[in-house]
Amino acid sequence: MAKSPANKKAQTPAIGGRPAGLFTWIAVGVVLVIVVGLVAIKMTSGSPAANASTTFEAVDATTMSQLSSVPASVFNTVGITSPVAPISAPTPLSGQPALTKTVNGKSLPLIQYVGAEYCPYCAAERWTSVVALSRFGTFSNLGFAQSGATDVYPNTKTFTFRQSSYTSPYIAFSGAETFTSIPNPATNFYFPLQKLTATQTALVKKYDTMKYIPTFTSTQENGSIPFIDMGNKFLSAGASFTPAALAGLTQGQIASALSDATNPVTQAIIASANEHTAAICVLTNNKPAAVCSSAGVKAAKKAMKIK
Amino acid sequence: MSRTVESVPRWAVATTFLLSVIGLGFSIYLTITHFQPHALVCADTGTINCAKVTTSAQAYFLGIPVAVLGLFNFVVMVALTSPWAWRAKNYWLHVARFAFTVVGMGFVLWLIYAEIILIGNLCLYCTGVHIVTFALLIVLTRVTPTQLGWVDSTPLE
Repeated sequence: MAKSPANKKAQTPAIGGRPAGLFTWIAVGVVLVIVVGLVAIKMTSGSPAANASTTFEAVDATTMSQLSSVPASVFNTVGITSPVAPISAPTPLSGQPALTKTVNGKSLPLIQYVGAEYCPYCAAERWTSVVALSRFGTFSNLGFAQSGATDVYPNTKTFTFRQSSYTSPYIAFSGAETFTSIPNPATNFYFPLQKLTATQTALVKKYDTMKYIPTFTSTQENGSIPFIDMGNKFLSAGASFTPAALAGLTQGQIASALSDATNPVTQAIIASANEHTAAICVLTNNKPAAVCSSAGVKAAKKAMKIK
Repeated sequence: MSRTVESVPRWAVATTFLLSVIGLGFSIYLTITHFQPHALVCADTGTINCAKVTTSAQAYFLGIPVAVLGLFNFVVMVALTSPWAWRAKNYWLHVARFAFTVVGMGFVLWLIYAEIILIGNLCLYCTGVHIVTFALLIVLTRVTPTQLGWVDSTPLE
């Protein structure tokens, strides 16, 4: 077939005798002008005012009560059933030195959370963590937060551990939020918030890796957040359920539904909280018994093959 | 109405077909990762952030995933740029190929606008599709007007 048309005269009359390459030059010119224009607009446009010191809004008493007083019947009814938003359980870890923290002269198993406020997966995971940990102790100064507005699953409503404290006779908890949810135009990322301690960094470097997290498919996933080390007995990397489950809901809507065992969002939070609770019960030698022997936690233990 | 269709150079046939196959490969991958986000292998920090782009509000057009639209586009383009299609004498088939590419490029420009201005991040695989579409536009604007008699094919003196 095909012979160079340059050697053949077109059999139909040319329109206005335009040269063959004209269309190409016009097309290339138009595309380049548009793309260069968009880049120029992006580079010269004023970035939205960003302030690293975001305001902190503490969680109100009603919401705190709803988080910490989920009826036992809901935990037991839900168990590990979450058909709408499937959940993933913490990964057991063996042969590692116990991770502890001395609190008031007493060595307690430490649960270390590492995340960031912009991170939507952290946003989902905090619901699980707060509900599970509230069965063993008390949070104070927990803050309202939402994930990054321009990230995946934008504006997922959640909490922040940035100024929180946690007291429990059974376990210690440390939460580190490494970045805010405010974009930093200078770095094209987010403003930093809390710097990890050397110990926290070492935990992430060692355990938040493909070697210990079986769901990681490549070393690129190493260091993913959220990362939770439960006393070096269980690890959790990534969200226990998809942040999509929380889309469009406020903290108040989610928290107030925690007493409804038929609510799909509640099921995702409670089912994952039961699995986290089962893991924590390993650290506390099944204390308190009312929690660790409950039907919901037993169901989680059975699924996770925990005795 | 009778219209004559000229033949085109071999390089144009080979190039457009190869580009369409490459574009089809990108769009298959993007469609898979649209429905299975965990399969997406791409940086997620800095300017390159595929997941942020592919899960953005702009990842849908009239309720249809853009990845699926891209897949449809390249399935059609693979057929339209196949050697058999290039050999066809049907004038409108060649017009359709050209029109598909021009419309595709327009859509690509919208997506580039969305990535740069609205989302603020780039998706590597999407950029691959954009480059393929642009390259197709260059080749087709070079040969189609001559092939369909829209321009004077005589070299300029």
